[in-house]
Amino acid sequence: MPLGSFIDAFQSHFFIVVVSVGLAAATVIPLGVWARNRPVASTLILGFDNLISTIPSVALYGLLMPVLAIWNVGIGTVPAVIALFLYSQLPMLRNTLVGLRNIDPSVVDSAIGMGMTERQILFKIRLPLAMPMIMAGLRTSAVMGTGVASIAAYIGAGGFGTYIIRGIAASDRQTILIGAFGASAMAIGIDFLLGGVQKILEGRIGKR
Amino acid sequence: MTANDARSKFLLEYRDVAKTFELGKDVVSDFNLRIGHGETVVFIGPSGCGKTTTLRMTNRLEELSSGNILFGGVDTATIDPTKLRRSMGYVIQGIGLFPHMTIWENIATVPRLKGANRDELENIVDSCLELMELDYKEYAHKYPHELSGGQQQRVGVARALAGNPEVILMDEPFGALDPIVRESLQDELIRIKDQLSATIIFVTHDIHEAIKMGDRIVIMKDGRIVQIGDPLTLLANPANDFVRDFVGSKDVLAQFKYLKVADVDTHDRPPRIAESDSFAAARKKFDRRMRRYEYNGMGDIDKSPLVCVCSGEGKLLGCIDVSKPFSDDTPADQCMKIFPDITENSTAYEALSAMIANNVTNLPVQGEGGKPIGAISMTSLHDYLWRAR
Repeated sequence: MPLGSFIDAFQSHFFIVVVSVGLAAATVIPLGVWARNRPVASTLILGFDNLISTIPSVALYGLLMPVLAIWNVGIGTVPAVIALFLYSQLPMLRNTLVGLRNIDPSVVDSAIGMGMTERQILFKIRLPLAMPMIMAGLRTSAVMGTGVASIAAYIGAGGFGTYIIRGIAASDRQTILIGAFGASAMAIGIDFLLGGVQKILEGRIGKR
Repeated sequence: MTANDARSKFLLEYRDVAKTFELGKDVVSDFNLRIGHGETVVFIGPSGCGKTTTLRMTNRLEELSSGNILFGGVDTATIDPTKLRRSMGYVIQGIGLFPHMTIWENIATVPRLKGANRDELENIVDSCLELMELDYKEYAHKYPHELSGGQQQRVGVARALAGNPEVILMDEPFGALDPIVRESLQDELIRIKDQLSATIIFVTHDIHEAIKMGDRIVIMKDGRIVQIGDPLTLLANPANDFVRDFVGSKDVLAQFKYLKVADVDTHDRPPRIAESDSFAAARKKFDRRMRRYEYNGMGDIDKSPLVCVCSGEGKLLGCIDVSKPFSDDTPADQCMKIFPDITENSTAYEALSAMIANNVTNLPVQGEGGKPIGAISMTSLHDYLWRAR
């Protein structure tokens, strides 16, 4: 396994996290909006996501490899992104559902009674009120995803995991630490950035 | 009268309105009511009587199972629900202010939906806050959680008024507030509805609130109307025992709280003397009045020995009790007693309390400029009660 530069590791690690968590956010938040008043559908989706989360990441890579090998992408970035995409769904979906369902019913009742359309209620009332919960889910997913992405080095996806694996193999503590430090610094950094985004959004739509 | 006049005579008309929920239970049935412009109608009854459901059917938050509701002569079933709701104000017990919006944004909601521009919004918010006696500078840019419950509901009412609605629907709007705040908001609402001549439908389970707020009260039980009438009619002539118990007709004194002095016979104007007159003049006036009564065969009329002392402009300054042992030459202003002001707008309860507290059986009623225009007496209150029965 070639040990690339620290910058290379950072780039591939960051790419995997951003793409997979971004894709998950783009699909799961609308899914949560759709499923919020569909108890059967939301139970099924949550059940599926729970199931995914119980599979250890290494096992998930193992499961994905033969399937993706059909398209000749069994190892590398593609399985890493898919696995991470699946893992990041649960916190975001759960938080989106909780955020949307915990809105004071009298607020929605008065919005309807004042003549807002279903669409206006969603975008002006429900989503802004659920936003802190949704953002919290996104942050959890991103931090968790950064950690899980380290393991993707086992299937040749690169990233800080490469240092860790190499370090373990060579019993080189310093190399392990470089990888571990890189991954955790990235997790903290991403959380900090997303926290900033949340602050800006809250500033725009008001606090509670 | 053209067909158009006939149609616009009532703002809202409920025709055989009924609501059945899935389990086949009738929530509302045979509901017929016409509400005129500027009228305040209170729906009241025990919980589960269908009052809230009826209110929510008005702006189509609930659909009717049968019958129609006409709004300005048009069947609401044919009006787009969001459009219908924007022309009706809506205030609920839970207040329901949008927690992520400032007071300004909350109040601007409906006008904004109707497409008002920034300047118009500014004017609307400003005038609505002023109407609810909330200072623009202090409150407009606060968030709901920074306000007390009473202030929040003031904003709730302001928000309902902002759309310039033709009717305001209020679902137990003051139910969650403490009694003192509730009382002041009720007074506020009465002031506003008089000022705007607004039409209001008000749901409550509190009979005192209903009697205070309502021009007419609709008493409901098990989804049906039991009786419709103005507060005094309900108190004096309850349709059955249910209404009697519900409005508390047994409490005669309670009625006096809603009875205005103007409703009672007050035409018997007490004798008057000038400020500069003496006690002797007062007694002379009184004796003359008594002789006239006897001459006219009105022996059983109230003989309270009161004589009004008036200023040059005719303003009531005080009253002299001529049965008191003053010397003849005592100046009027030294033997007169000052009573609480009773006007035609005072309640009979206030008048009665003042009489009891001052140990008299009648009191002058003051008109414009404080002039005594009549008198209210224990006898006239008694007559009113027994005539009403």
